[in-house]
Amino acid sequence: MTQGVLLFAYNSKNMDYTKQAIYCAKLIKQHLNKEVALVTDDEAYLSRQYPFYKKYIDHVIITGYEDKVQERVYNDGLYHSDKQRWYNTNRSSCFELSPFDETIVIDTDVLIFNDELNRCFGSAEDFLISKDYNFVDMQRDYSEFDKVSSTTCDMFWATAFYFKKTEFTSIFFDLIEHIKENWHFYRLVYEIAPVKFRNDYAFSIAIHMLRGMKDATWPLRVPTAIWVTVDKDILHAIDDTKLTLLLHKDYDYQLSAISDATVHVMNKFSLERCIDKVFEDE
Amino acid sequence: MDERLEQALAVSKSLETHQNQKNILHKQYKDNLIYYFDGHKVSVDLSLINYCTNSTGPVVIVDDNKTPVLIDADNVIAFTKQITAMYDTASRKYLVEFTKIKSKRSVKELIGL
Repeated sequence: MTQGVLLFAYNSKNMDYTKQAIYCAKLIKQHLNKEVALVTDDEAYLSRQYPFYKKYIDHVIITGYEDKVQERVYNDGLYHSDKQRWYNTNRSSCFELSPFDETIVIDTDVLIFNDELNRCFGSAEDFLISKDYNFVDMQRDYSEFDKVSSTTCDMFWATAFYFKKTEFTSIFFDLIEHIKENWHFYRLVYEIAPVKFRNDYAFSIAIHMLRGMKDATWPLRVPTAIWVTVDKDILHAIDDTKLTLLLHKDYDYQLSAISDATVHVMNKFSLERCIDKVFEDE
Repeated sequence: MDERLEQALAVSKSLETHQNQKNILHKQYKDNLIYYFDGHKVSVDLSLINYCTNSTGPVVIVDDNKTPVLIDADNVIAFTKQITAMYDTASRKYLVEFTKIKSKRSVKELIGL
């Protein structure tokens, strides 16, 4: 059984997801020691901008992004934000795209500083997904993220999931594709206010439908704690195994640090600034 | 601003930072007490260790996903050793990390800047 990690990276005007993916792959090699496959649309950019990428990425899969213009606001701490295009809607294609029998799919802004995700491989389950996030700012209430909307189903996060290529997971990803194609119908049924498509919502709806619209223990969670720092926080520095952060308060920041953890860094601007420093040595 | 109030607010900020770091360590400690094996997820505590230690035959436990697991008689000793070692390692790590931050007085020292 081949095992590996699949990443998706489609650059937008001011956001270099390819850079994030290469750094993410570097950490995967360091801590999980698994093969990495990158799905992207521009191999020329990859080779030109990051000629060292082959050290960390084993497979490059070229696909175009879907012709759906979506925009979202990205914050860089409390005082800067930017509206940008976002192309990552083809995550449900991971079943066809993955070169591995067992695959972990993670966002490129997930930083891995331990080997706990390796527990996924060899699992008796066909599919595992992240649900219960730990926010680095533990004093803030983020219960709004527990549900897709206040009246509907549980929220699962497509940020990190694991699957085996089986008939069951094929049905699951086909269902997500169907939800995506009929997004406006499903978002109204599930009372989702934002118009734009989000993988997290589609995965959560598919899970809710597959488990008969009821609570169930399926799907089991990815066997590691995933920590989150939101985009109003600022990533200040990355050391060997430690992240130093500024956590946002109402009009101010609070210093924090976390080590030996898997951390989803939502402030992509500050993440890219930190990666630039790391890549100076490449 | 009144100097006394300014000082009090600075102390309050520092205490808040301390508390958040303590909360992070405690959450990481709880996560380190989870034993994953054969697709099962078991939160280890002293009562589970005690129960397994005192069992003379096979043991059935219900994991965190509500799935029953049979630990057969041949494996009970090894299983107990593993969860005990895990509990011990996690608790010691928590102690070491907690002690490090307990003595730090400034935010700068606390974060290790």
